[in-house]
Amino acid sequence: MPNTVVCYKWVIDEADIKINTDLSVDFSRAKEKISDYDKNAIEAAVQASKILGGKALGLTYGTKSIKTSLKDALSRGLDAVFYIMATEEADKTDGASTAKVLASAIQKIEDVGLVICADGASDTYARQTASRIGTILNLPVITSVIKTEITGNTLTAIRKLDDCFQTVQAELPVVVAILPEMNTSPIPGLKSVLAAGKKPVTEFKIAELGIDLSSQSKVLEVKGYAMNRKKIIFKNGEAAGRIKELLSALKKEGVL
Amino acid sequence: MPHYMNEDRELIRNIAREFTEKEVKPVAGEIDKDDKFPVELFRRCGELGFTSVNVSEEYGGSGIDLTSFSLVIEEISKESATLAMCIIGHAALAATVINDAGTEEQKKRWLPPLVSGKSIGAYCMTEPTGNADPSMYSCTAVKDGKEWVINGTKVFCTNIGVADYYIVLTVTGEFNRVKKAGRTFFMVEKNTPGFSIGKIEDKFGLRGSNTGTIYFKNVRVPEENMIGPFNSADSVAPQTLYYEMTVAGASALGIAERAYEKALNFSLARTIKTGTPYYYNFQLVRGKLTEMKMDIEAMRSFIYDQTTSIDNGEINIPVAILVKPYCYRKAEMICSLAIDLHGGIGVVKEAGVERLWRDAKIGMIAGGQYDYLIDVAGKVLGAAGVSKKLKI
Repeated sequence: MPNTVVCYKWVIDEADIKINTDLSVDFSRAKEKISDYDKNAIEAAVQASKILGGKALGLTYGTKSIKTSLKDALSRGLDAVFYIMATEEADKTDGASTAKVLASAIQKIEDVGLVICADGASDTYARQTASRIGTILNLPVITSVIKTEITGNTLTAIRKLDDCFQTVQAELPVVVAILPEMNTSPIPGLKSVLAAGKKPVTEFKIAELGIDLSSQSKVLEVKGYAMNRKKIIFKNGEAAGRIKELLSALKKEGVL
Repeated sequence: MPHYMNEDRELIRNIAREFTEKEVKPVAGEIDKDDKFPVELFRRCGELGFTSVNVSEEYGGSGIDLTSFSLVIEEISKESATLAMCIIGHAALAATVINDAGTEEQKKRWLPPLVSGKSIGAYCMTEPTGNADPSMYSCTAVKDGKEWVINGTKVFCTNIGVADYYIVLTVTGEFNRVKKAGRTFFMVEKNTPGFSIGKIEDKFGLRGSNTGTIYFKNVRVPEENMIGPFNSADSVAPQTLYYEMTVAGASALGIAERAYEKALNFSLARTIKTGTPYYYNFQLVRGKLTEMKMDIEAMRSFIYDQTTSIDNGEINIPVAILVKPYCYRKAEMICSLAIDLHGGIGVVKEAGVERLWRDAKIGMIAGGQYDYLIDVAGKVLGAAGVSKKLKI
């Protein structure tokens, strides 16, 4: 029975991030959570594993705080979780090295028929992981997926593109990147939370994976952005004339 | 990590927070406005395992302890103290009586539907004479063959009308405070002949948590519906009430935290042209906000110190009684200050601060009025000289 692996990321909760008046970003009070989009990916993996008959397995890579994520992920219906703890600060690694780590770990997991990622993570939304994993593992990659159907060894996916829906088919094993429209991630019950502690958790050591972790790109700075209002008031003349002025100004700005 | 937290509790709190944000927040205002019991949300809480405390898996419970349950109530109260009150009346009171005092058969019969949230429980104690003097209670249960016949009136009962199971405290003998004798619990199922729901009160706070009067007129229940030994309700009721007192404090904490958060965000959001926080920079405003935070942290310590103590099998009686009055008084003050700090918008319903104040104010009275509870704790302190501890 082929197993389904879902990659998830432990991210800073965007609701706790504060933008300072100088546009610097204050992460000091931010708690961490499983990326909201990855919760959809986990649910997709749980559902896919019911069809494939194998296990739904979580896989994550990050700094030591990822250990906090393991029970959370398991309470969402996964059968087991694998994790790789970064030997250096994970936020210094880029999408390429992250994908290398995850792909190497996937190769160590037995009988993987399907790899599911979210299209992007809620912190950077770089949308690289699925494509890069597929490339490294030489597997077909289907991105922007909102629906899947698995019949035998064939996966049919509907992709949501800018102006159309595309139906794509591939033979397993395959890497799929899903959009949040794929499903509604259920909130786990307390029984699932308490049962999560009894499920298996396995650590892969970076050294065991034998990969080059040097990043090809690095983040130099993170700054917030501020909306600067033009503060133009059309206050002279008749209402009809002022509306014309407003329309003209909006067109000039490219809004209309 | 605070002393009362561990990995499981952290996760339970996060789950409750996620549920509150996604499912409670969007409808909390409507519950208050329509004054309608949130049945669907209640059932969802049952599905998630939020509607029981200390009920083992054998009876369908998740087995969460009082501290974990309080964390859930704290989170839910940030958006809807009404829903929290519905759960407290159901889980901490009604289901706890069965769990603590019921026979094996009673637990197997009544707990699974209650802890799953498919059925709703109510706890009927207060009478028209008030709940301060149990010797004046007059709702009686008299044995007649293999049945008990209940007659009387109960007022200010939570969850009435929607509840399927009513735990009723009845007079079955001469009340003796020292021997804790004279009263007995019975289970009365809805639709039992002679049982009728009276007026559901139109309260200014905790709207949607049905509170009102129940009449018992020759209500006949089989003897298997007696919960706990005959005349022994007062040996069970206090423990149940200590559960309620501490978890009610957690509800007050949730209300206070949300009021503080709203006031803080409001004071930081009002800026002058340079973007410098303006309102917050007034020393008086900042001072009030800081005092609010100080009180919130004191509440948190008080509540979870007591819940962990109870989870460890020890109830510090006068102190456990004081959790509810202390926390609701602080919550009411914090909510009132939050309205002040909002200025004009604070009195507008859409701002959502006045609802918090209304709910906190009710909490100072519901489940034991503030001064009454202070006096009860004072009597215990005076009698014992030192705190009295009860091993459970």
